[in-house]
Amino acid sequence: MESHSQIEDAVTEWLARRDSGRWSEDDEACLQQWIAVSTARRVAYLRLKSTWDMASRLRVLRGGTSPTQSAGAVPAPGEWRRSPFFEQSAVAAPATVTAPRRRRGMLVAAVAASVVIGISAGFAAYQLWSTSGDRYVTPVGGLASVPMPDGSNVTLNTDSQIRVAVTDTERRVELQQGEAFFDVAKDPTRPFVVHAGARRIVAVGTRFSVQRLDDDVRVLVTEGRVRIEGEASSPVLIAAGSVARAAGSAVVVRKALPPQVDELLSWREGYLRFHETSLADAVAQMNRYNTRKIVIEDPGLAAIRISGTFRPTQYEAFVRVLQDGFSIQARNESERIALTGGP
Amino acid sequence: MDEDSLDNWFIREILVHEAALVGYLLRRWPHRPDVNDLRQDTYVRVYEAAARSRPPVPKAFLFSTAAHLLADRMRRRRVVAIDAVGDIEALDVSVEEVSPERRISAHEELRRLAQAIDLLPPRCREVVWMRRVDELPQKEVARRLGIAEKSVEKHVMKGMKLLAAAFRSGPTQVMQEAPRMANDPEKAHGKP
Repeated sequence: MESHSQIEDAVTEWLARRDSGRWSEDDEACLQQWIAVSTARRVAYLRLKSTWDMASRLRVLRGGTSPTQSAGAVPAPGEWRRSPFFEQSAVAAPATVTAPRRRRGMLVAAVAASVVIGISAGFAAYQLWSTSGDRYVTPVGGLASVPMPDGSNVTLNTDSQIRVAVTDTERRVELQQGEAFFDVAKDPTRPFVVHAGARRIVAVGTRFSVQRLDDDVRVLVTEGRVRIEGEASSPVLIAAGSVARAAGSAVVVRKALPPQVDELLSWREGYLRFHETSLADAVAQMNRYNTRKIVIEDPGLAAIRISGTFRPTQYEAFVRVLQDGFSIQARNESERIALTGGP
Repeated sequence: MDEDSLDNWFIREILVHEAALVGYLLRRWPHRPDVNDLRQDTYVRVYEAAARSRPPVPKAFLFSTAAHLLADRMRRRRVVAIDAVGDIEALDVSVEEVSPERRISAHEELRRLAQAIDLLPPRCREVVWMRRVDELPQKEVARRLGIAEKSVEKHVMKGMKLLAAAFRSGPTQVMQEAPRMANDPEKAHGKP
């Protein structure tokens, strides 16, 4: 019988060869045959391959570990800690804005923030002070982590805006626009309340995300429980592993399967993950992150299912995959990219 | 039950517990090479059982399988170990299994991956970084480092093994393995 270390050696040899670029369909068939011989081979293969695949997710650090680093130069060990991706508290210096000038200040802030994000593609939010609490803004394509004074943490997705007010009796976050994930520190004496339009989402200690599109509010709970309240409906309790959609007077709750949870929260890593997602939904998601919009001109394309991981701001790569994988034609226009069926 | 989804289930529900599993085994059988064997034997049994029917609480099933294998091995070796088996109850196995999201945040996962890469021997680390992070072609990596493509491939092989050990089992294992392999990179695969 093969020993485990012999198997491990053989697996890495296969994987390294596959990785090298010289790899044919025949090779793949041979590998699959080789794996099928024993479970010991299969589990060793899964263990090594899954870790190796995962390592490619460190692409987010590429070229970003220090401003002077050129592509392909390997940074010193530990250098990656300085990557904007890991510097969660990389919040720009607060700008004091008085009430009447707030709008203009906001605009300047948004522009400044988009410059920061443009350079680092990492975590950064712009903070503004005002009398009614702290405001945090992300530009289109931005992603930010906002630590709150009570130990809670808010992750802000693209094109989002919140106002945070923490007092002795209440922790209040107003989601004015966009989407946010809340990691709430336990504190029974101060309820944590997210206001999203006409809805209030009340939590004590839990983790959940809220997405707001005008008055359409979606809540995903990954831990603990939250209560959705609103004038139009009676309170609804949402448990972990559920996703609720509130629009008009209705609140619809359904179970979220792990792939859906993954899909709905992948933005926090700077990625969008699709599992058999319709092209229409995937494009709508991508468009939230880019000012240049992708438009499906051929209605026949909308139902195509796609899976994969994409950087939301790199819409060119997304379009290229569609062109290569589905023979979809893309027409570049000044404000948009139009997708049509094959020739 | 199709194979592919069983594979994904295994990665998602079983492999994520490797650090805890190795810790558990090491506390009861403090001999690293044996523990690596026990770990793989446990995986084989869990995978085969799950192919017939998937256990409702994967983590608990993983640890009870490991405990049985350990007991078996002790009987054969005629070793008496205090507190070796029979304490599955006392194990920190939470029955409450939730979405994978809960276990380890993506951020934390990336941090641990980066740390695991830092633990690789220097040349191996350079190769892994260029291939995985910068996504340079193998040829280009060979050119930049002035080594043969075959050597790049060898470093990749070693990197895969050490990375899996560091990321999955936790850094202690690499500290034990890395120096030995670092001194003798080209021969490292020819054992045992």
